[in-house]
Amino acid sequence: MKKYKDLDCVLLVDDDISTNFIHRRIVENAKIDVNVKEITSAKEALDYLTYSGKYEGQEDAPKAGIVFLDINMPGMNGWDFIAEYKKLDEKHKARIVVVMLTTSLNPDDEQHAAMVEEIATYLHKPLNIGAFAEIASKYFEEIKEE
Amino acid sequence: MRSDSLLRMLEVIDDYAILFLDRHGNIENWNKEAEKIKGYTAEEIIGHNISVFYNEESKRNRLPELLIEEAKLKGRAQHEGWRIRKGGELFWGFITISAIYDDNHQVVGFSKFVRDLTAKRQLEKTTEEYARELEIKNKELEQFVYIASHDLQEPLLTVKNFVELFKDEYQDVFDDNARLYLQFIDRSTERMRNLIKGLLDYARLGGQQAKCLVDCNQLMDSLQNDLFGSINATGAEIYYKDLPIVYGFETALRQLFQNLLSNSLKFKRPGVAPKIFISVVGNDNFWHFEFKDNGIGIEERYKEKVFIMFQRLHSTTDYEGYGIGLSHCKKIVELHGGTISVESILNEGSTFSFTLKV
Repeated sequence: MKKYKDLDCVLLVDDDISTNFIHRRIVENAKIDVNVKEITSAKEALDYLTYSGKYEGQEDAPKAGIVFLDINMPGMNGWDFIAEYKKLDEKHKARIVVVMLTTSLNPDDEQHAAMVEEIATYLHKPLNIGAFAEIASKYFEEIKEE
Repeated sequence: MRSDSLLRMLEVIDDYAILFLDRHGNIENWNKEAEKIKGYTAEEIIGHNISVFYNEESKRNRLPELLIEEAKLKGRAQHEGWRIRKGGELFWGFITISAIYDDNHQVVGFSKFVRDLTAKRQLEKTTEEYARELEIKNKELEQFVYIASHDLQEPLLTVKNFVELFKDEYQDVFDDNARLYLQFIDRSTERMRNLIKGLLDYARLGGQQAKCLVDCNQLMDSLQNDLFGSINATGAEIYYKDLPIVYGFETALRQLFQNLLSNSLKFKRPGVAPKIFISVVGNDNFWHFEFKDNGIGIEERYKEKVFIMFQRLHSTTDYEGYGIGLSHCKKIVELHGGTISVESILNEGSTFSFTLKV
């Protein structure tokens, strides 16, 4: 089991429950010590990050280190989430890596994602263990057990 | 009438060739623009009959004479068609011939105004061709959607069939986990089946059907019967009267009304019985329909998005659905030469407005 500094929790944001289920399995199988939180809407994900709505007063909940964000969601989609996320207070965004996930084969989305500073990277679904491990080691510092 | 100053004025008018003709259609006078449009100088043309501008076929059909006759009888004759310039080149002219009378109301001659509309005519032709091409492309696209979605059904059906077999033959050895996985597969294939069906239906909308007179009152009465279950369950009240008889595709119109109604029933506020008001105003060209409800409403920024295929505003856990209904409504309204839009106040209700061509 690897452990990374500041990577307490992985936030899975996808309206499709089965996709979240699969992604949870992948994260859990990556041999990285981290919590997984599944959320089915962009709005709720923002609430989670800012301890508002149904997450009010839950400052003790594991802090998200990586957000895996679906682009195509009903109502507020991935891009809308990014627009709102940009406006958040720095203290809510600190140490968060946003990864866009999509089933879309549209190269425009990829170009768009590359231009947005808040988006660390852009991946096609489904997530795989290798990609997740790579993101963890690229953006977070491993805590070596003495 | 034909004073010098008037002539000088006519001399400098652009875009119009202005000719004065005697009672027989012989040219008496000619402005500068006429020289430009028709190619002849005044000296070359004065004294000739206007038939020189017409091609052989028009002359055979006695078009120049007939126009002069018409102007004599009615005071004015208009015609649009190909004319010949000096040298034989064709131009598309718009011609107005007006009779000139003396003090005793006798026709003494004619004024003839000619506009060269060749450029406009060519533009119209290009637009026509463009519209035709667009129509073909649209047909192709519909055909493509139809074929593609048809072919997508097949492998999906195979997945579905094998999942069933799998369940039948191995259910004794399944643990909870395996059952959960199969549930995910079932739900996803069912969802995909419905999405594809939505696409297919969309491509098929309005095709191979004849328009007929549809009584919207009867339509609403029978829809209320069909939707009795959900109307009853939600305690909905639906108000309409004196709806018009419209000319359109009956099945499609029925679907339009049904989709809007069931949306209002589905997107109701929790604990608030739906109230739905249907009203219509008509004018010479369109029927303006309004479906107003007291439901959850739609955020301003999603007002356009709701009409796009597969676009949903709520997760399937909150409201079941496929994001198909309103895209169908839009296509149906457009099939009837109209437009559809929504105005809404969040948590107060939505008003869907659409027009149908009379």
